[in-house]
Amino acid sequence: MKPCIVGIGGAGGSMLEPFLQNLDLDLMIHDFAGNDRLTYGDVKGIWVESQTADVEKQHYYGNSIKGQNPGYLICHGGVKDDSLTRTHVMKTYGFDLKAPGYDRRAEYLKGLFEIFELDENLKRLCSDEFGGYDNPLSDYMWKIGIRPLTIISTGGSTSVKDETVSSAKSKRSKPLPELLRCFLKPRNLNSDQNTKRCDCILFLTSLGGGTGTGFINPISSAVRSDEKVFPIFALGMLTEKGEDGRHTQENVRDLAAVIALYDLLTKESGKGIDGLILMDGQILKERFGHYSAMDGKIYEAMKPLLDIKNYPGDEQQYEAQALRSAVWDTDAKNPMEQEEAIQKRLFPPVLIPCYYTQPDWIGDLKTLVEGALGKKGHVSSLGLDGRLFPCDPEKAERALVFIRGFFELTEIKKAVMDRTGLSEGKIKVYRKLGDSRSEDVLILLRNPYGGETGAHKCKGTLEWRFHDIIAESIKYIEKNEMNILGYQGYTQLTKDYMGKYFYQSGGIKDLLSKSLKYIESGRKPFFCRELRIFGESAKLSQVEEQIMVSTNLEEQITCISRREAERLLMEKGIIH
Amino acid sequence: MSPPRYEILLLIAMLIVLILGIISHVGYWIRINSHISKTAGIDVGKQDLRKALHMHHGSNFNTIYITSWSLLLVAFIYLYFMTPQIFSDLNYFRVPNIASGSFGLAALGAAVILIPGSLAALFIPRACSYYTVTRRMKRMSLLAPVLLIISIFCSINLGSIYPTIDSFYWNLGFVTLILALVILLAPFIMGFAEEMRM
Repeated sequence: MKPCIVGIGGAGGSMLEPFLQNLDLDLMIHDFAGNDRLTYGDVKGIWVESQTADVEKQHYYGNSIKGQNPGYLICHGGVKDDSLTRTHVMKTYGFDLKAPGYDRRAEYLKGLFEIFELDENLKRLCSDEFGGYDNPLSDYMWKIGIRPLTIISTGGSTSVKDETVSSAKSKRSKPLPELLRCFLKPRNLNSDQNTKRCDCILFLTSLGGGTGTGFINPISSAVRSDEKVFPIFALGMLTEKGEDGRHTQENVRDLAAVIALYDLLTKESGKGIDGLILMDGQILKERFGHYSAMDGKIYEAMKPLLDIKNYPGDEQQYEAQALRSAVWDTDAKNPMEQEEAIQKRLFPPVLIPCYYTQPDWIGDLKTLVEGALGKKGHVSSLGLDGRLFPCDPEKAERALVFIRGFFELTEIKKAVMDRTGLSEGKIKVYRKLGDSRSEDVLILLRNPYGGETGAHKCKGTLEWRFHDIIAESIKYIEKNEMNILGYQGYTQLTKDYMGKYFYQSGGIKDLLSKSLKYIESGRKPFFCRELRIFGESAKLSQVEEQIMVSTNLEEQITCISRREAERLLMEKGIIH
Repeated sequence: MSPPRYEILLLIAMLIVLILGIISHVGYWIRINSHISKTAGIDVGKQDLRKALHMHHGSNFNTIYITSWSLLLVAFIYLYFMTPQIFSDLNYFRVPNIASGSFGLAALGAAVILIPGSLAALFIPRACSYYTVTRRMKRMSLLAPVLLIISIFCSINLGSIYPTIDSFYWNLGFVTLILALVILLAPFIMGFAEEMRM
């Protein structure tokens, strides 16, 4: 696995810095590596930002448009000041495509991206002005900034179409004469390029309501709409309690985070990300104090995942596609069943990282695993072990174990089984050789929540943390109607839609209240349905309700068909 | 029988350091192989192991590393084989045609770099790629070419003033040479030491 790491927003950029640090010597007078940096795990990355002032203040990133590495990309860099699209968006909706830093409200960017999907006039205008782009922001970021760093840019896509093209090309090329084959190996330029490029994407962002929070959904959807099976993961950091570095109120940040999380976790398989790795800034802040140390810790924790010194013999499982399958893994008995299961209405899983390191001459596998997951029964010992987000490991559906050091596979599985209670088949182990100075483990627990009533009252559970931020968000929505809808730039049209989105029956406030109830009753997942500002009616239909509560597959299919029929009838104006 | 010259004893000490490096490398492979064989659950071939352990250290580091090893050989030849002081039958001054030429020293250096130096350049960075080289160690390696250039200048000075002998310059040339050798072997020795600790 070699990810293209995309830091979004100010915090995303800071989190990205350690990942892109050059491990080669800095000769100062000349760089023999040219523009190529030697990074851990050979990762590549880019910082996407909208705040031009923030970009100018720093000296770490150069302009990626000028080919500098590591590079930044201003997400509205393709939009001119007098752009017709910009003018249209501003007049019609009151959004500014070039707003520096945007507003610290997730709904602002959510709305801004939605209009490009729904407004036909705007689509046409945008396509004419930006040479076929559907969206001048997300398409620009994806096609100019991120795509060139991935194997997709060299035709190394995993799509069937691309495979056909490349096999046709290889059939056309003349084989080397037998005599020369002993001396020359035919060189596949595409494959040479591919080894240097990334086979998946990892977005890094804080969920504090800035650029990252707003962009993470639209950009991941833009990539997904282009590449159906390309692995896309996101690492989101929930910001700390109290005031943050930018002195933004906690409940404002909570609302933004909840909106972003809601959208990320309700995009069905094949429409959004493949998994959300969630960290809690509160835990990191308590343990490491300041932001740069926290960024360093995030990098350290992800190293077992990025390490390319794989254990000999089982290299294939380390490929990004294999990891993607493992993340979506169901209880299917064969690949066909697995594919069917993914096609069903599956939402991306939450992956909770648990990390621990110890010198290799101290402790054993048990201490290593317990260091990461905490001791059995210690749910509330938050921040004292390696759990980077509150959770109870015993509620996890599956565990992906990335471990560096010399350990036997069966022993690793046994240690994780003992701690989590998972069966052997639900633990996937990725062994790396590491650097022999220390051994460490990163365990990604899939959806470690649910199944227990009242778990939200127990400090240290995932339910407890989510319940807290959702409850804060609802309070903020209730008490700040003027603040949310009265944003000075919005046009009346936008205000109306925002009003429906937030306050109408079936709107986000209603859905979040339902989520709270689901959390309290131990239901999984607690976010149940994608909700748009400018899209379909925000009203939750009875059919949707039925889908959410039904567990039977046949019943679900019937409900989905009814929902589709209802949508078509509404589109034709037959029902309202 | 007269006791061996002081310089010969130091040469033996230097060879011991070099042998220590080779032993470390072999020991590292044996230990890693044994750890992996015990835990992998399959027979691991040498080729698989090489592939698994291989890592890039960067073009800048490799350039400095190859340059340093080539300079190390040049510095060693200059220090021991330039004047008849140590090996009276085998030295640069025994080839007067080259030694008296304007570019004699350069020709000697180039010959050393081209023949044994190119072999070192081929094999040593590759061997090093199986070890973890920290950024600190990489920064330390920048000292090696500096030390070696000091050693070479000391030898050139000794060659210029011969038959006068200046033991300070010779000692300085040797100390810088052996320090550079230790720096260049550090990844191997440290790697083995880390493995021994497990």
